[in-house]
Formats: sequence, C-alpha cells, structure tokens
Amino acid sequence: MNNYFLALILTQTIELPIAYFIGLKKRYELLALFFINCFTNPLINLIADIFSSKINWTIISIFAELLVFIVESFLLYFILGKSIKKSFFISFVINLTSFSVGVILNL
Amino acid sequence: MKKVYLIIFTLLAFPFFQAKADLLIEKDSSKYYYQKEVCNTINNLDELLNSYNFYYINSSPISSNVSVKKLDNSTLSKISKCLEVYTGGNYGSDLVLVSKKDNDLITKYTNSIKEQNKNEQFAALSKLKDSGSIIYLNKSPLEFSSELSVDKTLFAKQPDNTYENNYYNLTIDVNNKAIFTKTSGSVVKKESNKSMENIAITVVITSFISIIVLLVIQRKLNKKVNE
Repeated sequence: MNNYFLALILTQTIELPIAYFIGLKKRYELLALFFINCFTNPLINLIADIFSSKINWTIISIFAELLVFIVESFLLYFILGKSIKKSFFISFVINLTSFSVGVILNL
Repeated sequence: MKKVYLIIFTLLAFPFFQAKADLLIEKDSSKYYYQKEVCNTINNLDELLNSYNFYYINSSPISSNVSVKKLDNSTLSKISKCLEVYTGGNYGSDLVLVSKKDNDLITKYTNSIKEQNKNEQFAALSKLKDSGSIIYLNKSPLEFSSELSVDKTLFAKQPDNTYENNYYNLTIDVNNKAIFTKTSGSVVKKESNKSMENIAITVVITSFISIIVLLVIQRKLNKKVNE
C-alpha cells in the first residue's frame, strides 16, 4: 500500500510543476490534474501488479504508460475543455517526464 | 457525455474485477498464496532449512552415511509445501526430504535406478511414501526419472512477504546433497490475498472519489462558461 502512495506522491510532485509550465496555469486546472492523477496512478499500478506475475515488467510498464497517456489526454479534454491537440500534448509531456524519472530512479 | 461516463466507470470496474478474479484463481489453485500462509506459520523456517538435510536423488545413489534429522510429520508437511514454492516446478520432482530410518529404502531405491529396474524403483518409492517420512516436491513419485540431469544450482524462493532474504540458492554438491544458502536478489514482492484485496478496494475507492471530484469540477466549469 505504501508503494502505491509513494508512486502517487512522486507522480504529483513531478507532473504538477511540469503541467504548470506547459499550460495549466489556473488553480482549478492543476486541481483537476491532481485528481486525474489520483484516478489513473493507483489504478494503473494495481493493474500492473496484477499482471506482473504473468507478463514481463518492461512490457507492462510501457503498456501502462501508454494507457495512462491516452486516458489522461481524454480526461483533460473532457474535464477542462482543452483542445484535443493541447490535451494530448500536455499529457504526453507530463507522462514522458514522470516515466523518465521513474526509469532513472529504477536504474 | 454518457459515453464518457461509461468509459470511466468501465475503467474503474475493470481492475477491481480483474483483481478479484485473479485472487480467486490463486485461491482455487491453492498454490502460491496458500503455501505462503502455511510457510508463515513456521516461525523458524530459516533455521529449519539450514539445519536439516535435503537430498537430490538422481541416477547416482545418495551417500548412505549422511545423517538426517527426523522431523515430525506436521512440520515435514509444512516444509514440503513451502519447498514446492522454492523449487519452482521444473526441478522439484527429484528433491526429497528423508528421515534417517529410511536410509535402507533410499539405497534400495537408488540401486533400482542404477539397475534400471522399474518395478523395484516404484516399490521402493511406494514404501518410502507410505512411511510418511519422505516428501516429494512438486511432481508425483512416478514421475521420478533416472534420466534427469543434475542441475548445479537452482533458484529457489521463500514465499514470505518480505523483500530481503527472500530467495535461496540451492546448490547440489558432489554427494548430491542440497545446500540452501540465503541470497538477496531482485525480488518482486507478492502481496497476500488479504492485503491485495485491501489494496484493490482502496484503489477503487480513491479512483471513484477522484472521478466524482473531477465531474464536480467539470460541472462548475460548464456553469461558468454558460454564465
């Protein structure tokens, strides 16, 4: 359980400032992103945990990150009403950053 | 918008039911999680593993002068369940735990393998099994094969719930004696049935609350836009 919490905190710490710099300037936008992360991060970790005994961890990580990227893009689009292009851009940048940090930390 | 809600709730429901299904499969197969619980009931498992002798029976006979400490059947049974996990599944069939009193039968058994006398081999195995003091790991005794090659190291794991000291290296020495040595390795932590279930529930609740908050934010934004 602690691992899930730690992963969420780390994701929030990385993604919120990045999102601020690339376009989510308003408080409610950051609040929305915070809850989007609360929605996707533990869920994806749970899915990864479930499949970890059956599928290679690298494959799971890449698949999970792709899934998060797509889901978060659509959530940004639907919740905040950003253009689909902008939503995908923001989601891509923040997830790429947090994924990279995760990879570096695991090395 | 309804479609979006449907997608969101499907996303929410999927991992929960998947987790449930997964746990049920694990329960049904009585494999990993059950064994882990059994192993956890042995407080001094490490001590036991280091103190008692394990034999690797192959085409060559095991040494007759090795002493084996006798364990009570209940402990033997518990250890065997743990060792099923340790040995994985590919090598377990020829790893046995024997009590001292059965040395004659072991010799008879190993000789029968040397002589390629299948009837003798099965008879000896049956007697050993009936005596209750020999434990076969994983496969049934009939799957014992004289053609099995000796693997020098096996990677075996202890199914407890900790990261460190979670794995054992099992080395087979020249006398076919198995030696367990503790080692640390990259271990994937397995949660117990109960804690996995708790995690799944907590995660789903968190995600559910998050999505409710997001919907509230969206509604407020829509209101603002309309005004």
